[in-house]
Amino acid sequence: MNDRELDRWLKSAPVPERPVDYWEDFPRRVRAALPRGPGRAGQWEASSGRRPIFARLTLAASIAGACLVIGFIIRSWRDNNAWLTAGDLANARTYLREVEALFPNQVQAVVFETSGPRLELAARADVSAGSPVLVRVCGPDGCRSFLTFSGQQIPWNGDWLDVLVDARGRVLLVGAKLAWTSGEASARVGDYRFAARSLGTAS
Amino acid sequence: MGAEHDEREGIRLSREGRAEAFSELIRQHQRMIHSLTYRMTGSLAEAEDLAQDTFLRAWQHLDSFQGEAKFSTWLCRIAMNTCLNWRRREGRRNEVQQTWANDAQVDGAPHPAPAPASELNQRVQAALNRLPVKQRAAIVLTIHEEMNHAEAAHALGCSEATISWRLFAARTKLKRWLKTEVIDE
Repeated sequence: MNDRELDRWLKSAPVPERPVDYWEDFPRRVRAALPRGPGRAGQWEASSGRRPIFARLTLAASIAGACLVIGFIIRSWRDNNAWLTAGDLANARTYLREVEALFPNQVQAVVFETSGPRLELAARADVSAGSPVLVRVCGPDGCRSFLTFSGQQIPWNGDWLDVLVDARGRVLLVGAKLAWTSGEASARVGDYRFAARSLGTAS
Repeated sequence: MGAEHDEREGIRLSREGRAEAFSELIRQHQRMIHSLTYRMTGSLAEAEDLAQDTFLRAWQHLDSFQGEAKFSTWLCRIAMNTCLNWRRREGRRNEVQQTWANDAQVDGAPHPAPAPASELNQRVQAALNRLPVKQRAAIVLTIHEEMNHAEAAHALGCSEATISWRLFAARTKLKRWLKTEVIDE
């Protein structure tokens, strides 16, 4: 089943129809439930001297959130892999759990390209569960991310790179034309830029 | 152009507290919001309550609508948040799944019986109900409401990459479940 067929199936599931009276009556019922008073604007103006507690909480949460974001940006800026964000890693972990649950010991890599994600599965469920790794490679043709495991290979510039994680959690990319580690000061190799992070132990 | 102008005028009047103008906005968007809340809950009664909550919240927070996105997208965002909050509050996911798994006994007491849906369609809705709620939201917005990824991202308050991610995960599961259903048939 391809995406188009799936979409067609999904769209074919109808929402149960309601009678015409229902649609005529619904706006009236909502209107009856609207807060009573001199009008919406008036109510807000009347309460504007003392902002609702919800608004205050929202403001406090926004400030706290902004502090967290700034802290994270500073931390990331100091990090060699600044362009592999905490959000990317969190998403990768979530995604890994999802695909591993669906295809246990069968996932070789998930490749994220501009055209969308692509799942690479082994023919048999015999992929050994090395440490999961997120690798991003940007070059003249754009960026690709690989969610894969230590011990697997990823394609790069007509070559294959072995993905390995050392005891200190650093990611090594090793091929015929390249040997790079996430511990290096520079993430650039020629026209290419690399970032990689170990996602911890396999789930 | 005319419809857009009417909508902007309706929003302006509603902001001034004119409830009849807001009723017109409800009329324009009620089917879309009901459809969305139904697909998120799988229940007609819940869909009705959540649609009503959505419009009440929209009325209360109309000042926060800046016009950066379409009004319908803004409403969808409220509806989605309402549905997600409901999910968290009620923790009814399993119950609803169970209901759907048993049969499509749509809670019809106050409403007339829905148009008969094919068994396959019921299975599709049941499969949709099995999805984690955020993945389901991504499917509902992009497939059923035909939003693009940017609009869906705005409605769900996340990045387009996250939408893409959730869609891929959801599609992978749905294909697997529905394929099994077809083979079982």
